[in-house]
Amino acid sequence: MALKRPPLRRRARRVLTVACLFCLAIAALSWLPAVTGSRNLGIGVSSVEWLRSHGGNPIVSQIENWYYQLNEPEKGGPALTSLPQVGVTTAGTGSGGEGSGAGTYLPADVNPLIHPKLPGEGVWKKAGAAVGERPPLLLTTFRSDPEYPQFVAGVAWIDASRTELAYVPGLAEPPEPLEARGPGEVPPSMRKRLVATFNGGFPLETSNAGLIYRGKVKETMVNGIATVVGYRSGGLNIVRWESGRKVPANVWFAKQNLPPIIYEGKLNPNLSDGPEWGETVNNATRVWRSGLGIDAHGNLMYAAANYQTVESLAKVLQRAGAVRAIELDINEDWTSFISYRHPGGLEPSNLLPEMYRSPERYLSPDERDFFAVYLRKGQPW
Amino acid sequence: MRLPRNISPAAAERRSLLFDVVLGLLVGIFAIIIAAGIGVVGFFALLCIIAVIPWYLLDRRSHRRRRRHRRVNSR
Repeated sequence: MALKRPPLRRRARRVLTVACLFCLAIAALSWLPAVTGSRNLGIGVSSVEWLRSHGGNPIVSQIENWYYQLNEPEKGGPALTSLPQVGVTTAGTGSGGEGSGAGTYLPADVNPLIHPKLPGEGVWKKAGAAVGERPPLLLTTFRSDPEYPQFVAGVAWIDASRTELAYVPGLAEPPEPLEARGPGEVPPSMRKRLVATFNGGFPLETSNAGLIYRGKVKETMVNGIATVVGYRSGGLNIVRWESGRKVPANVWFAKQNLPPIIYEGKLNPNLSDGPEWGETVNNATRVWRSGLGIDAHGNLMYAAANYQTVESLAKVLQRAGAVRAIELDINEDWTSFISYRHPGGLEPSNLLPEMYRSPERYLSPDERDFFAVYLRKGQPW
Repeated sequence: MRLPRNISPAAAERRSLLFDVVLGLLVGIFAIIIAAGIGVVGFFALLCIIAVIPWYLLDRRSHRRRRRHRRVNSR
């Protein structure tokens, strides 16, 4: 009997199906451990992260950009009548910029962008329940963009003279190999002095930037990139990195992310230049964004808000008083600022109610790296 | 050595199935080798499977319809 083959179309489909099932099986061998091992992430987010780190970054970024373009907010809209409540009591800084105690600096309240101002808008509030006249952490909110009057930015001010900043690696970021990674959470022994925690920058794989951890280069530093630097003395700064590939002897950690968004009091003139601001979501896409600045007195300022561009985020930080600033991580999955009302990491609360990640986030092992703010040793709460 | 040409339709079907499976595995291996990462391969493989499933279902439905049609005509 003559050989009778099935139609070519059906055979091509069969070959394609076998090839796809084979590829899916191999991919599943890598995907399954990644999603079951993620302790702080849902299956969706960890799958996206897995795809991003396994060659799919351009695909994820493109889909993200389409999604954000489709969900772009409209200008205008009804005005807000109140702002989310942050902190516990008013810090009483007024507009003078000096605190009540002799030689104590407290920042001036932020002059809102939109008038008339709402009750409590731009007014600094203490984050701790039982802090004295020199609160280590102040919080405020204000409307971030006159064209979008419903958007509210949350800003935190951190007293550098009373606190120290630590860079804490997550379980998966920075990637292996990393010496002395730690537990990926705030160590229990440090929680007595814990004031706040907040998200780090972009993952090393997508940031094209460097990292120094415990005085050693984990990823080659890049000149001209904004860098949060923690010194061995406990001091900190936000600089434009110019030390090349070597590690200065006094540097304990240095985390880079994109060019500075504010430098020497001025906005980066290239804030509207797309490719400079990361290879994932571009600079003009309105998403959750976060940034870290430093004021003229060397105190840190963190800001985060939904529906921000790089430029609007920089303007929020500048309005709050930052003279140099770096953009940190973006997207709702990664932006977190958590303050603790009581010592021991008790009563954690997010800076903004829309931040959907749990306020317990950094008290349990997290995938991503983050910063922890501790009271300096011997400082009263 | 040449494969026998005069074989039953069932044997021919089994032979082409084996050939297609081997070819499919080779295509899969090739895709994994040239792709930027296993994530990309998995992503596109999933899309292909999602596209192929309705194709199979449609084929099956039209096959059934044809068979029913033939049965009605033969009565």
